[in-house]
Amino acid sequence: MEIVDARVPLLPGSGPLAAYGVIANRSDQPVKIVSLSAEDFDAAVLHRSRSENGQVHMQAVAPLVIAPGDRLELRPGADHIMLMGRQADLAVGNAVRVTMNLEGGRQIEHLFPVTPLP
Amino acid sequence: MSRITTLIGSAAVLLLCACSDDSWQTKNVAGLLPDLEFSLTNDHGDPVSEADYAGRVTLLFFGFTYCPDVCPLTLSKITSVARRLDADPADLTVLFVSVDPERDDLTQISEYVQAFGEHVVGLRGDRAALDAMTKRYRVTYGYGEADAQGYYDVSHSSALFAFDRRGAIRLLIRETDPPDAIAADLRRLL
Repeated sequence: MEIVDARVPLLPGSGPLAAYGVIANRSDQPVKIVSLSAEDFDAAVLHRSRSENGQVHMQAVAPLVIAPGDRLELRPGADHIMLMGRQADLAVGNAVRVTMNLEGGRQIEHLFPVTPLP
Repeated sequence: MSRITTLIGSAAVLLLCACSDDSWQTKNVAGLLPDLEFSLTNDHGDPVSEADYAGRVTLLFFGFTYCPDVCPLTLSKITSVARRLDADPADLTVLFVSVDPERDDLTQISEYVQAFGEHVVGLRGDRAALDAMTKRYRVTYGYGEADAQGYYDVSHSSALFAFDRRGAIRLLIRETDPPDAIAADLRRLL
C-alpha cells in the first residue's frame, strides 16, 4: 500500500474535516478496508459525496476493496475520509494519524498533513 | 398566407433569441426565478435582508458547516474566482445560507465562513425563514439519520444562484462549471 498526496484541509471550529490522498494497492492481493480510526477524532469513516439532479449528499462506503494494482482516489467532491468529533486544536503543519483496519487484522497507519484550504 | 407564417416565424425566432442568450457560459436563468429577497441573521448577529447587499453582485449558496467536502470545495472555487477577478468584497459577495440552523449556531457559521475570506457572508434563519427561502429558489434540503456519534448528513443543493447588482436573478452556477466559465460570466455581471 502506498499513500501519496495525503492531506487534511483545515476548517476552523470543531466540525468534521475531510482527508484526501491516493491509496495505491501495490500488492497482488485485493485490499479490503474494513474500518478506520484517527487520532484526536471520535471517528473516521470512508464517505462518498454524490450529486444527483443538483442535490448533493454523502454516504458511508466501508468496507471498500482496492483491487491488486488499483488505487483509491480520495478527492474533494468524491470519496474522502470523513474525520468526525475533533478532540484537539489543529493547525496547519500538524498531521492527523489515520489508521486503516484491513480484513485479516492488518493495520496501516499514515500521517495526513493538515494543510490550508486550497 | 405563407408570408404571414414567415413573419410569425421570424417573430418567434426573435422572441426566442431575446429569452436565451447563449453567450453565457454558465446557465442563464434570468427571469426564471424570483429576485433576491430574504430576511435572515448574518454571522455578526445582525438582522439582514437583500437591501443590505443592494448594489452588489451576490452569489447565493445553501450549505452547512458540518460539511467538510462539497461546501469547502464550492466556496474555495468561487472565492478563488473572486480573487482572480480582483473583485472587491463590497462588489461581489457570496451568501452562505445554513440549511442546518439547529447545529450551526452563529459562532460556528462565523468561524466557518471566515476561513474562505472576506467575500463570504454567513446567514442563518429559523426553519420558517429558511423554508421560505428554499421554496423561493425551488431547492430542497433534508437530514439523514444520526450515526453513533450523533453526526447526520444534510443533503442540499450544489448550485450557486447569481444575482446582478439590482438583485435580479441571472445565472445558475453548477458544480460542473469550470472556474474559467464562472470568471467570464461574473466579469460580465460585475
